[in-house]
Amino acid sequence: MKKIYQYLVIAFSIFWVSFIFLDYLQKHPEYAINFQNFQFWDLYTIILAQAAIGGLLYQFLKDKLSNLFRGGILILPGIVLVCITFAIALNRGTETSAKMGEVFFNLGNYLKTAIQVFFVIISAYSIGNLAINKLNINLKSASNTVVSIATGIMIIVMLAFLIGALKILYWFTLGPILLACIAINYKSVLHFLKGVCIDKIKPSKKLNFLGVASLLLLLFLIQYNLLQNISPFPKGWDSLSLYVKLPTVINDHHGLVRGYQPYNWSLLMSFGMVLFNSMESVLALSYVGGVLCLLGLYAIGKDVLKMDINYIYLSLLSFYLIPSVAFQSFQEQKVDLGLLFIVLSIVLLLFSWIKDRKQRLEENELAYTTFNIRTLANPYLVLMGLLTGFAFGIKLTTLFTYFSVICILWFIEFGYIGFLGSSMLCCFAILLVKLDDMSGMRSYHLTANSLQWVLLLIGLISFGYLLMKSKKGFIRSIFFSLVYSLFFVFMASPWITKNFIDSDMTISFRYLLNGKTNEPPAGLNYMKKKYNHYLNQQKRGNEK
Amino acid sequence: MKSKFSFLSFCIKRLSLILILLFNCIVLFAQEAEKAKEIEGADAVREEIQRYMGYEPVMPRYLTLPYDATTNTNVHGPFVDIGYLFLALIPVIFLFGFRKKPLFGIVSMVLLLAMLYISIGSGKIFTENQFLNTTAFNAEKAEAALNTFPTNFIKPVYSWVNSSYGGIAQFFKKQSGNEDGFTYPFLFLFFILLLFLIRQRTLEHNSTRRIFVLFITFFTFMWMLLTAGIIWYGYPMIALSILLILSSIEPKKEEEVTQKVIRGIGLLAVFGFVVLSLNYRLSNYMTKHNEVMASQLFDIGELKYQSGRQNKKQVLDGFFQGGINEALEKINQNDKDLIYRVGTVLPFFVEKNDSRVFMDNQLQNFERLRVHYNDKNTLIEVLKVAGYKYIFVDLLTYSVDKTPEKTLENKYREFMRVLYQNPKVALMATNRRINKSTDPQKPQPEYGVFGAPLPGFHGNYAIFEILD
Repeated sequence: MKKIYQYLVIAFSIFWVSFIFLDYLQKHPEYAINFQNFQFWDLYTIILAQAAIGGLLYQFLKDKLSNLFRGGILILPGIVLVCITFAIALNRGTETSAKMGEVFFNLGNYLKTAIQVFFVIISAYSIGNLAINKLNINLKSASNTVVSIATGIMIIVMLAFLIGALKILYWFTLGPILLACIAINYKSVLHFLKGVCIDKIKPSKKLNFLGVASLLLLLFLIQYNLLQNISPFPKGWDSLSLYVKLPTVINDHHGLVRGYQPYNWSLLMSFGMVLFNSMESVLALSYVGGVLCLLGLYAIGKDVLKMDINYIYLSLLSFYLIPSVAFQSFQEQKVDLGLLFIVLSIVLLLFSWIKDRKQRLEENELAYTTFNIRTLANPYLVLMGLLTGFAFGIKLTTLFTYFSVICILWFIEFGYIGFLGSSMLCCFAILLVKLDDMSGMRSYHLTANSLQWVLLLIGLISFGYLLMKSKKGFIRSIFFSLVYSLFFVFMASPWITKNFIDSDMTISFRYLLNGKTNEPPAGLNYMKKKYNHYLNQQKRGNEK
Repeated sequence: MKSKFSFLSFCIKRLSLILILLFNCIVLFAQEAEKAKEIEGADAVREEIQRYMGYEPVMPRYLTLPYDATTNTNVHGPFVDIGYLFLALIPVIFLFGFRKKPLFGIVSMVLLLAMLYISIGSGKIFTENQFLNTTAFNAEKAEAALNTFPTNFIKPVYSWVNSSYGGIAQFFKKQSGNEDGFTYPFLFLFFILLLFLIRQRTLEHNSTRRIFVLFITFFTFMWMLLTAGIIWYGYPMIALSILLILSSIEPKKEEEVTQKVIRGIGLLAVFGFVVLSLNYRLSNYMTKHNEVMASQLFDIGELKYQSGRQNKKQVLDGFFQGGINEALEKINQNDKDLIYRVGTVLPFFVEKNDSRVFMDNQLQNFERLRVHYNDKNTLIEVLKVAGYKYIFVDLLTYSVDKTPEKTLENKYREFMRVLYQNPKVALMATNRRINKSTDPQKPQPEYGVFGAPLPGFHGNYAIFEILD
């Protein structure tokens, strides 16, 4: 039976993969059109060749070339590749030969933007690293970098929120804050910069042609995407309508803007205008979310899943090549990739916390069942909660992450029954507050109102069983969920407060989440009132 | 013992208090959501949000979400394209794990094939530059239209689904239709079944991997339930799934033959994806699907800006031809004049746009005004009295509409009728070009909105001024 099943799986897999591949191509004719009319085979060859040659050189000469494995040295071929790409694009696109001066002009802008963004990220790293050290959070190297940057972004954005609320968001207020963030932890910053640029990189022994080639292709794509962000204004619909519009409006008002859903990442993007008065930097601060996601995925692959290094790079390349992801990296500068980066940091912290929890419980079985500050303020959970709240301030879809984390908290204590019970209760809450109505789908489900009580019942029965099974474990899980939720709400509260004030202190679900904008009124009632008033005035004028 | 008991009772009291408060908040929120629903235009949400999911009967709308997210036949474009890797490889990896429990594997296989069958049946096929419902696809007619490399291989599957799916389509239409009472219960039961299968599938894995899989599963379930298929709301599941896929096909110390074969298939799929996507990435996503896409790396305006050949104003003029800079100059002269915006991105270039622009992308508000004030002159006068001086229009607004009822298209038509030959409005700028000549031999292209657009000059924006 097992043998037959194995053959069946192979046959099924061949059919399934081939069919999905062909069906996908059938429904995406742009790939075929692109192949038939493609004009950049030279560039395509250069890119593939640099990856292949790099891979082969590493494979066969890694011992002799080991002195060259330094981040700073890798930047040089990168710059050459950027210049070649731009020259080819300019030659073909405008049918006028690219001049050396034009290429260098562009390179100057490119490097300027890169340095500006790097400055923001390095200040985030610095203050974030200090915070996680103070919180005694122990993470492996890659995870540490990722969580430091995420925490730092959260801190500097919240500082910007505060000075934005006071309407004093100028370069001379924000700039010193970022410089102070670097100065306060300059030793770590120097160490980090040295590690990135000067120190010899010690690649994994398993690294081979596949990994190096994937990494080189990835580095090209990172640069290529940044190059396409050197633009006088965004090109995407959503970025022009909201995500890049907001930073420019923030800059105009020198502070927070009335209304809108929470916009933490747009506030970060506004640094480009506030500090450097540069649209390119605004766009690049959206793009950098994608690059940071690569770091986050690398850390998860390495520290959590313990993947083969070559397959990690291949994963990163595959992720960055997904058209939707690429689209948001250069065409439609939004906040989803920034949000993803914060979510990946939460995932990293979740797994680190699971490890920490296990250790603590091994030391003391009663840990987490007594009320003390150390228990309640478990730094991993606190930071996870804070980052989730911060992510909620980027986009409300963070609730998916929040609920998923809650279910995992119950899973690690009680296994699948815990997961089932908590997931049913989460779904009950979702249906009760009618979150499914946001997409307008609720009205199509006639039994949704009754179903929510069934879900509550399943959840409560499961939880009753869990309470009987282990009271200690139950209390532990409640604590975990409460601490995590409390800090989530704490970090989300500035936006909710802002929206509350913006909406003239109206308590409304809609206003608390979306705020009330400065948009002029045009509703029917308002127009009727205005027009009737006008007609009356006209009438009175005629009578006189 | 006593202290432990009192501690427990303290905890329970506190917790119950918190839970009661939380419950009250939730009920309050639920009531508010109900009110919000009354305020919001249901049509606008249906037109704007639900188009990603499609408009088939409710049950298949959910069942086909993974397929739709891959094939993008409801809304097409690189912004929703996630590639084929997820749909192609996740089921294969899932099934492979059941090699020691073949029965679960066979059940999963049947479920997967059933879902694929429903997805193809209620999906669409690309024919002659448009997507056609599989059920409406005519095999004879399709011969010529579908003569492409991938189609030639899978045409028999389409034909078979086409001929056999009619009854099932009818069943869904009759039983599920536009609303039903069993899709939600079914989805939750399906989720519980999935949890059971995942449990069986991951028994041999370490807890890290199990947690990883469960995190993705619940996230994906909520994405399916709540987002109407908008793909970027599900980026975390995409990013983490990529790691899951690649970690499943990485070489293991001891590999069976089947494992090697699956790894080979997986790697082939990944390399195919990298080659295709890299090629696609080196083309201009912005342009429509034609040969121009493959002959440009960047937008020409962008290139000229990067090289210093053009400044921002010139680039803007290139992007939006037809007098955009002159119009914006006038609009920015008085920052008290309000703007009524229907869909276009141009308010970005307007000063103080946060307080001057009223957004009505789905024409929900305009429709209410139009129904109330039947006369088009009065309607414009009403806008003028309220301080509105300009109207910005996206000339492609109707193209967003994928609803079977074409609600947005109808609203757009009525909206344009209000502007058509209205003496109270004047066109300030547009990039649409129409033929003003009556002689077909001598076309006379001119910037204008009303009239037959010249091929390739349909345009995407128009700015009107409300006259004093």
